[in-house]
Amino acid sequence: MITIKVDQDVCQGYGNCVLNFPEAFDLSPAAVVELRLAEVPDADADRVRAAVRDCPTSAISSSLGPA
Amino acid sequence: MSSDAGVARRAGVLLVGGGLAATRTAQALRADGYDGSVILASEEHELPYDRPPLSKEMISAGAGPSRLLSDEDARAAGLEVRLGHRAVGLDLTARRVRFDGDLPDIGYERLVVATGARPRTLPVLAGAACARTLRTVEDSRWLRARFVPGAKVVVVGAGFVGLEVAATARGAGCEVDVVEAAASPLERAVGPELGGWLIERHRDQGVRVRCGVCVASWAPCGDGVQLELSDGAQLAADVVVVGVGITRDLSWLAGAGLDVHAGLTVDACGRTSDPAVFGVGDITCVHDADGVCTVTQHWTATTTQTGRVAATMLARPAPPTARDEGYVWSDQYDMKIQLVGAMAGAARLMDDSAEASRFLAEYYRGDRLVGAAAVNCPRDLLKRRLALRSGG
Repeated sequence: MITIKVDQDVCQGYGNCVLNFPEAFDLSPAAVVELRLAEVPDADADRVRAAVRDCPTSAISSSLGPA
Repeated sequence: MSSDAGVARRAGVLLVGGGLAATRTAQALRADGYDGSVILASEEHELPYDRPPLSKEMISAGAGPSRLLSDEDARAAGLEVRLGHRAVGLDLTARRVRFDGDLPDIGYERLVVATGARPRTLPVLAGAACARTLRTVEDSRWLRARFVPGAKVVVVGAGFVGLEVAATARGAGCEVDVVEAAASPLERAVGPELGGWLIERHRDQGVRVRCGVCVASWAPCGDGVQLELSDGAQLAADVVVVGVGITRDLSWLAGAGLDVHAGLTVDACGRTSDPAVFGVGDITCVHDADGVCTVTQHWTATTTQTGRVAATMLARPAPPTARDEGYVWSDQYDMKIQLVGAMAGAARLMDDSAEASRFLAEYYRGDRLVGAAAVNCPRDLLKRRLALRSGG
């Protein structure tokens, strides 16, 4: 399993994570990232990496390490 | 290029460039399991940093550069970083790159060209010491030192960079004039609806925006300049910030025999006309299967490109080329401006777009959504982005 973490304090609501992995990420009504899934199967590694890579504020990290 | 004697090293992958494109590609190669040697050679004297804050927080909050890669990150990922040398020559047959200064040639098995773009300058302002473009940390620090209350700042060019700088200068208490050659600024980038609306917001903040004029000449005036505009108006400036687009340094690439067009020509996976050379980021123009050339200089377009390029280099199945809707953002005052797709076709302004704090427009061709422009409503914009991705 891959563990995902988000930092809501630095999130600016760009939404790139939702585009990459809508089952795991969402934007709250205040447009701050929310995790729908904090653990995802290894098969989703590419989507997790893409979410980390495409976050302009580095608000996302995962047990896979850097983007 | 000269003899064999100059080659000191041969990298498995040599990345030339030190910005977002080079850094993310290097990281993606490691994440995808590449374990050969990786050298990242940048002409800048700073470790890779993110550019969007240069026109904003780095000036207003006095923040340091927003690092994309620390020394520790580089060590942990096994990336060798060489700073302060510009690539000046490329030999596709010998597979090596020549650098300026005292850095010996570096050979490669695979080369990634990620040298980015340079700001265009205005020949009419040549020699004016108080005129500056904005692309690097040095530029940003230079502006920070001069954006003091009461300073007279003239911004030439009402594009994203120009308007962000105008907002930051205004926030620092400067007097700000914006001089824009086009009659309706931002029209192509954000559509006429939002373009006009944004200019009004700048005027609300006390910025004088002059459209349809350009700088005709300048004369020294104290530490600053006196500008004469094409309509005869005189404008005193302590600082002139020029934001009139970018150019690409393609001569060393074309000289080596690589195909270039608007940029270094690549396909959707970053392949150039040489099988050992890839291109990524602002230096590139992407040619699709029909030969249509697309140039983007946007953050998200670059990061998604890096994933495809790294996968292709490792002969891994590249992530599906999800339709790139084109996503752009800009922050000015308290406005979060977000754009996706094409600002063309029939515009539908959403109901409360008359409010000064919020704006939302959708663009349609026939019944099909083709783009959206939003200010301060990220969730609404995200909905349109998801709709565009699933086909409008």
